[in-house]
Amino acid sequence: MNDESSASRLRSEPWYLPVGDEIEIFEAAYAARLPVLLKGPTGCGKTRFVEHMAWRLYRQAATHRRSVEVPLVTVACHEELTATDLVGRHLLAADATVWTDGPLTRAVRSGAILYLDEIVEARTDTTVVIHSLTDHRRMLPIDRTGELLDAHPDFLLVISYNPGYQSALKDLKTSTRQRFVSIEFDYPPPEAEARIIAHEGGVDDTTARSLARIGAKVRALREHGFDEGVSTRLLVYAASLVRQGIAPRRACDVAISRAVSDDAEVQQAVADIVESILPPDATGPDP
Amino acid sequence: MNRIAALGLFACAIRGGPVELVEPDAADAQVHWSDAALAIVLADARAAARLPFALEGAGPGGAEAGACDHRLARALVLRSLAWARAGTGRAQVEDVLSGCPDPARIRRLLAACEAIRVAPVIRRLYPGAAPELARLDEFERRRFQPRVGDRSSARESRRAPGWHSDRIAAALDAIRLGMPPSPIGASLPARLEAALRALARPRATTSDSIRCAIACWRLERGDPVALEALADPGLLAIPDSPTSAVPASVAGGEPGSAASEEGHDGGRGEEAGPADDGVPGTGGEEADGSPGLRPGAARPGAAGDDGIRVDEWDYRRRRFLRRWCRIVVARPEAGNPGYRDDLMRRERAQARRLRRQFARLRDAATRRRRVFGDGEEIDADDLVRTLVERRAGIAGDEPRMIRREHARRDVAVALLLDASASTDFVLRNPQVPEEDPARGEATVVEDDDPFLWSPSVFEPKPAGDAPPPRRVIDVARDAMGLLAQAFDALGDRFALYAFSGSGREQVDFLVAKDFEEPMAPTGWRALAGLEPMRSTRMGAAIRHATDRLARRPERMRVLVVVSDGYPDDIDYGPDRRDVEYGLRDTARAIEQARGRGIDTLLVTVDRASHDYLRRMCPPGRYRVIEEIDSLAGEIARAYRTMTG
Repeated sequence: MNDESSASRLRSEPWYLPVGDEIEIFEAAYAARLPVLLKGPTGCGKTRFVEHMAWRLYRQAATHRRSVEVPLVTVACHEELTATDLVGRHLLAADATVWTDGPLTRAVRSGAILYLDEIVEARTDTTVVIHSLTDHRRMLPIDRTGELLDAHPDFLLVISYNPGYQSALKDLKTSTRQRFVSIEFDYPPPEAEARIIAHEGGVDDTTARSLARIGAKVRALREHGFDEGVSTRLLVYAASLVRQGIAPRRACDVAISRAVSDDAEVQQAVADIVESILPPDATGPDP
Repeated sequence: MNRIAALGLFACAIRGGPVELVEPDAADAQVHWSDAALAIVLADARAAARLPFALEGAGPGGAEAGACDHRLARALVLRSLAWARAGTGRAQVEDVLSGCPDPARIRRLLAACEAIRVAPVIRRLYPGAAPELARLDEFERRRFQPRVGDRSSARESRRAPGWHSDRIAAALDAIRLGMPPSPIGASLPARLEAALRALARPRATTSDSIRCAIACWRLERGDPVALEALADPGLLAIPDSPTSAVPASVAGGEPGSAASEEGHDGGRGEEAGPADDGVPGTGGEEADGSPGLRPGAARPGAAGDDGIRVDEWDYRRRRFLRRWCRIVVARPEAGNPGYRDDLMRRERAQARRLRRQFARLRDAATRRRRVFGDGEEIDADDLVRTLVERRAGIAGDEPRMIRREHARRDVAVALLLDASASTDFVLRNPQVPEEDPARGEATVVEDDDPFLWSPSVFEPKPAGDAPPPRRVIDVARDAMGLLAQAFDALGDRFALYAFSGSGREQVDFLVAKDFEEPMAPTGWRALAGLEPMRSTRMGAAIRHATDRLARRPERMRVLVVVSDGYPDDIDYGPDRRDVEYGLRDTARAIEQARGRGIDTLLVTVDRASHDYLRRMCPPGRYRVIEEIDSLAGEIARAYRTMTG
């Protein structure tokens, strides 16, 4: 688990465009040290938002927190992730066994923000481990060493999950969900999404607007049996390909039409949307 | 790939609501396409829009232009469905039509005027389709020519007093198609013509179209002050009102006040129109979710909140009918208490074989692996070896750790049994002579007619036969019992469900044994009590079973559906004879289950069903049981491959 990459040290500001009051809410929650749950579809900006908030709270604020080496510890949860992976384990050194903190314990000790991405993917024992950190106790019992670790005053737990289009997709247990302040995310409105695409993908305004419109149209299919929609991230990918010199229709073909579904009919419908909104590519074969 | 289906999806995306592409009938031929387009704008956004569309045969260009290719079809969809995005103001139009003396005719004229206005907007919004949109116009122009070239009729119309409706309509079409001012033999009044042509300018709005339409209508009626409507739509019913100033846009100059007063800029409307740009919210699908977003919520009968409700997929409209079916959860009545002993005695060999097979599965699952690097336990033997090597100064391998992969079987399985009336079907029994006249044709297992499976065709069962006749339900029940005892031995969590029902408000979901309950003795009694009941609304039952499985914490979740025929229910789709609806809904339910991380296996004892099963299930996830007695064995075999 590599959570000490340079990105998590947040040397520079992660760009984020607020679409509602999410920044104020998060700041208030942080001030009160209330754990936060970010809900929203894939690729709508949850992770970027956390990075941005960590930067604001640790790098921008004039407090001792600036000295925290790794202000944001991100763990991408997967179905093999166990409580041991989060808390820590004994590893073997030359002559002895040495206790090594897991990412959760490190964040709790250092006062960082711990971000558990897609928490429902993790095994249920992991969600139980975090319970004692989410209420007034703010502590972490470490079974294996017998240590009762009080959380650093600056520690904050943030989790995210994607409730999916269908109601009970992969649900968070009520006992877990009700320990968090919930901020809901959705794909940004077209105007904002165009700005995001222009900024992140480095394309001109017209291209960004066209891509945002494609996004909105594809998402209109959600009610018609195609549940996933297209993420802002994919639209940014398409823009990045355009920036690299790929013709726009071709870029959308590979980044959007092929990516959103394996269903041939949906692919064709998405391609139709792309080809209606974007003029034919100047070079290369017309798809 | 089904091109029509793809096009239908595209149409839904463009409209931002459900669309049905239908083969045009005689009535559609009488309607100008712009009328249909305006009607779609005025329709409820959540109701399915009906778009007449020649799906086969000659394209819009007529027989000589050949069949309609995909791109042209796309342009046809855009031409009719992009009006809302092009800024056609629904409220304004409704306002005018509700207050005017001749709504039908004004609506027709308004459609023609609005078509002039939206055409360039749509070309701008969808530059990729502009060439095909131009081709459509070209086809229309070509069909227009003969009428124009008909000199006698032109002369006639010049002689004719006033402006009758056909000529106005033709003039409006000519202007839209950018044809010369007087193709129909006579010109419209210059002021009206200028106003109509100004509609095609970028900043024209629906209000401008309304003004033009009313002016045309009054011209048709020979109204002397017809053109005053160009300045003020309020003049509808008061023909002798004082003349107001002609707006700049109508005078042919820079479009000014008239265009901006409504704030409906065509170009901006694309981004500004929340009704159409709205992305259906996510996460709002909780039981109390806002009904505004869901098409099904407005339907009668769908609003009641009694019981559990699940969606249904309407393949014709390509949308979910939200909370369409009501699931009624019940327990089967307790049956024969001696059923378990009886089954174990009858099927001892098979029961033992299944237990043995499953036991091997269990052993395979608890294998531990020694790995380098990360693991859950220290491997003491390997650690000692390493320490010894280090003391001895040998650079040996790192100590290995033990990783238990799938250390315990983390599997939950739900068996879902079709308990519809058709499972009352008596099977051919090898011990009983075939040609029992009392049973007649009902025993013809090969017949693939779904109606044969309905209860009405059954003869009364012969009473007092020495070995009681075996029915589909008996065999299926035995298979469930055999699997249950094997699951118990294996330690996998399992549930035994059955379904039947009658209509969408009564989908019976029977729980013989739930995951947390023990099999003995209640589970066995309930299983023994399963009897054939009513219909087979398979999609709803699968969705509910999926919901139950989705709540299980196990890493691997499997749904096994055992059925005997087509999904079928009294109101399963608009036409009971159309089995396609039930098939598509079931296929969609299976797909949804898989999307939620649940592995599915559909097993059928209907030999004729091979074809539809293939369409409903992913490859390798269905079985057709040829020999009904091998049902349990076949399920077990599939289950081993799926979970082993």
